[in-house]
Amino acid sequence: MLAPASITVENVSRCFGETLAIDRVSFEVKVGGCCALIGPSGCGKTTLLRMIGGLDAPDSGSITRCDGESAFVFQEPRLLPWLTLLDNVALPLRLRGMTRAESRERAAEAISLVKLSDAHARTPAQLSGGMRMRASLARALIAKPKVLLLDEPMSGLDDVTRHELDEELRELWERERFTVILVTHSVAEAAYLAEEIIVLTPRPARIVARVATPSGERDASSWTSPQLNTSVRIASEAMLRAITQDTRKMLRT
Amino acid sequence: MTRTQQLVRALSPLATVAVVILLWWACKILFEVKDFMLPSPWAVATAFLADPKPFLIGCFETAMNAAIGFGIAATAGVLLASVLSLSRRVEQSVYPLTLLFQMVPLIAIAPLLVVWLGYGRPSIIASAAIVSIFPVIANTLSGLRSADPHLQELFHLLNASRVKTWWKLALPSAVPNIVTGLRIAAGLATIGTIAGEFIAGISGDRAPLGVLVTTGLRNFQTDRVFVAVLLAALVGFAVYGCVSLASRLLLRRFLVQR
Repeated sequence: MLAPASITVENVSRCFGETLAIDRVSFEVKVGGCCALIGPSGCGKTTLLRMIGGLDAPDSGSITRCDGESAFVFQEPRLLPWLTLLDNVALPLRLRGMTRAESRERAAEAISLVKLSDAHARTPAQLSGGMRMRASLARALIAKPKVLLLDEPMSGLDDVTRHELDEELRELWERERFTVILVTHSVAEAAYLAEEIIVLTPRPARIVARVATPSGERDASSWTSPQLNTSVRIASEAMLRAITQDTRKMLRT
Repeated sequence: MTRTQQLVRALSPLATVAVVILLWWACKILFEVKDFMLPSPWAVATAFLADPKPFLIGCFETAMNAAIGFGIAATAGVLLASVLSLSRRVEQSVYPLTLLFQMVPLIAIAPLLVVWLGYGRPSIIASAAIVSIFPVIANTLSGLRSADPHLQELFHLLNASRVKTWWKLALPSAVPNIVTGLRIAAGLATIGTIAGEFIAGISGDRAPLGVLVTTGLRNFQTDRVFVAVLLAALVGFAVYGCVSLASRLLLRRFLVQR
């Protein structure tokens, strides 16, 4: 039996003034699924994710979230500079009124998931870029969300840290099986992390292709596996076609 | 910094004070200024050393008045600014009034304070608080509005209540601005206290420095006036120093780690 849909995006459009940013986009992500949205810079990927997360509303169409709580991981870690790592991660629970001791206990668990257990007492300034991103991920995971929305979380990191975090994130998803929607501009990252890649056109964003990635567990060697590379090639070609068509259209006008 | 450099840095202000005292003494001798107009530094020191008790009590009373006035201004200023920051409409309605209130000279309000609160400490404290509250309100308000929009969005996403957003985000973000306001207020609190003591101070065993100044003037004891004025400056310096120290600790907690 197929898993039910966790998130359904139906004919969603969004305008900013006269500019159409998203044009009738429809897709769904099943419960426990992982889907990546890719497309050229400024195509509206983040706008779409923000609408799914409830930070923005579509002008037309609908977004249905059947699963429970969702959590957002932004492009920047967005940690409070005056709090320690432990208190930053505990923040969502503290804001819900949980006691300091209890929320810290839960935060310690979430921090161990992202392998930062030895940095509890450090402030964000004392953490590296990768550690800050892990902290942001731990904060998102602390409330045990059913849906995780990731907005280019690795964009500011160097390649080595990025690969390392991608592998940890995939491992975490395989273990916890929350529903994930990931926005990225890296096709390889999308293919490694997601089960399906949704390729968007340059603004206004429309779906130009949906590419399935190889099923099964991944590890460090998967980055170079032929099956994964096939998905990368198909998604890249689809994106390139969309960009070329858009450039031709621009040149004609 | 080497030990010698540290010593030079610490002694420099003292050297300046010594130069000022020497110039004061030179003026007094060269221009033959009368004692009731400009007493010599020695006469001032003697006036203090001959009977230090009333001056020390005066220092304590003035410092207490300034500290309480400053404390009220700091607390009320931060709270009022927090209330104003909750709504633009409230801010637009109330902020101009606080600005107007600030524009009224203290010397015009002080007699009214005596009418309302009587002579003595309550009027003096009110005077100190009125003079020093505005910088706290203005700086806190600007700080509360300066919280990182990305973090504000995070709090919105986490469904944080207004009070929790204020407590956990806006207020810590405003610390650098609050500290600036408090430092300005610390200086003003002593000025407000002395001005309040001029008008509402009560003479007697526990007369504050402002009263010692007016009593000295009335009795042509300029040396005692000088002692009181110098001590008032020291009290102001001490209040400012304490606030600066507390500010530094606050900034270390909320700013340096950014």
